[in-house]
Amino acid sequence: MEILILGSLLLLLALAGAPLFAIIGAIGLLAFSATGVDTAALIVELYRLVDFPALIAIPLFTFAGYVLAESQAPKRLFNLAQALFGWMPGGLAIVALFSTAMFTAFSGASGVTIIALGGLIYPSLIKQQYPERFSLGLMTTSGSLGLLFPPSLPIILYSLVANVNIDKLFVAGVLPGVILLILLSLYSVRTGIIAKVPRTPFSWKNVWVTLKAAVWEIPLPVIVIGGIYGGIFTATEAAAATALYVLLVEVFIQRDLKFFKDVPRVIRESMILVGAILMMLGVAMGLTSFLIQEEVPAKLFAIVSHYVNSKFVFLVILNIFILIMNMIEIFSAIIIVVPIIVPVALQYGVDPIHLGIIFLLNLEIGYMTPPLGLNLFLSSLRFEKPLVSVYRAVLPFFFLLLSVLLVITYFPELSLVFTRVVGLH
Amino acid sequence: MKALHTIDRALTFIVDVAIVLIFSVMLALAALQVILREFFSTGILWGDVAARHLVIWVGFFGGFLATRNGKHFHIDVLTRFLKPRARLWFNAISDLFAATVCYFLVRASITFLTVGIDPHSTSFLNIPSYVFALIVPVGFGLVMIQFALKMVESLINALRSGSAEGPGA
Repeated sequence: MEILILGSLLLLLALAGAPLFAIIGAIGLLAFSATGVDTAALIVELYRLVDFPALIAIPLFTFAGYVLAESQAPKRLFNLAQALFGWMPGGLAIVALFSTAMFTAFSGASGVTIIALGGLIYPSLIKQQYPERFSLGLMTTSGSLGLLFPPSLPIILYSLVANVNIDKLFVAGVLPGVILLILLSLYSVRTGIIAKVPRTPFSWKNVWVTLKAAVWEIPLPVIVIGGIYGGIFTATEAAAATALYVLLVEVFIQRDLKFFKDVPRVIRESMILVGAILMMLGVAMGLTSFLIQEEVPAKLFAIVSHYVNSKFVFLVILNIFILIMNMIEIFSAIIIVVPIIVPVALQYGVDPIHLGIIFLLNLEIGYMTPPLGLNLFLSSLRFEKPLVSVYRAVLPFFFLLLSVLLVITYFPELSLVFTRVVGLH
Repeated sequence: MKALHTIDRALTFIVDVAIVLIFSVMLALAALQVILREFFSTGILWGDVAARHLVIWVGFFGGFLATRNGKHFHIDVLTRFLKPRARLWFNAISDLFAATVCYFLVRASITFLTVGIDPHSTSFLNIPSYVFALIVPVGFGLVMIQFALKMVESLINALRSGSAEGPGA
């Protein structure tokens, strides 16, 4: 009875907008005291964060992403992609897909893509006579595209809480992410042809000019993906290399940011996000250890396995569950749900890396799922369109992504094939 | 009200400076490790451990700033549709709740420091472990103070804004 009252009270507080770390902290404190364990146990678990080798990747990649977002790099990459692919049918839409995906991978997928790049891309799409509904849907979707590509923050976070090798997870997301991009590109080509969008002729001169402008940013994906895949870097080393490289390039070579005026501000702003994540992660460590100690995952499996026998059916149900969770709050969903789900999924014989990709793709879709996905609100604000028309615009994209999710769920090899090479060099 | 603002500004100034300094040291240390490893096949033995301890420090200071800027993860699907004044009341309640939780976390951290850590154990370079762990009670304490300050401000604004919209809403 008491548990019920306390539980509903905390739920009410959460819905009233109380910080989730405080909710999780309160549950952890109450759980430990109820079982007669000193609450210091929660802090012991929190402090175990110090033992995670990948911990440092969180602040370093976040910082690198914020520096890039503040610089003119997104614009330079957009121009280059435009020069390379602009001549194709649906070219500009494809350019939008690839440049937003890359931007999101580096900026941590917190919805900044729509705010930062939307103002650049959306008007160009409309000007080139892409249908308004298509353009709106595309921009809303693009806000979370690239989440599967390293070094996106959700991947790092998943690897931390699920205790999965981060290097492998970085590599695992690439193929599913590319499949997603190709499918959306085909849809863009189709739209481009049907809407008779005029094409811009290809010009070598344009390619050369934009290539020269972006020459310092082009190595970035190579450092991250190539470095890890080739066994030169671990993910944490790639984080340090990327942060230093981005800082040097944008401050001293491109001079988009001023060292004394901008850099301290960018450090502070990026560490606000890091602080929010780490506090949440810290208190959740305590709660998770409590749940594991009480064998909650095992009990959960006992109940679920009573009704669900097949691995695939389990994954489909899991997908629906995660989708609803993610619509509400993404980072918290990873931190809270993953530690409980992973042991259950292991019992079903699901590979934790495969599960990670499923989870992250769900995140990507959750961002744009009506009625509550964050991207829908951002898009409605940014492009000054009523929410309902954003809902309608996003639907075809939503179903496309959903179909990819099903394929990724059913064929684990798509996520796992490249991970077998990691660490063999 | 004025005194509260002074406290807030002083604390924020300290945290602002600390976060930039600690982050810089952390980045320098991590980058130096990579350079030493890649080019000279060597490294600082305690470098990685030290960098990870600094992440915790940066995290708590970042948590303080996140509190100040209302950037902690929260569910806003319902409060998003509230009127400014009603939102102030909701904020005051959730800030009070968060400050209370932080208070208990501070107490738990103090127990952790005094009982949970061997006073003779060292993390690296003979620095006692508790020196680094100090950030846990200090961090939760800073966040608690910030939540309390915000609660008072929301309350004052909510009471003040009779017919007109309150400032800072």
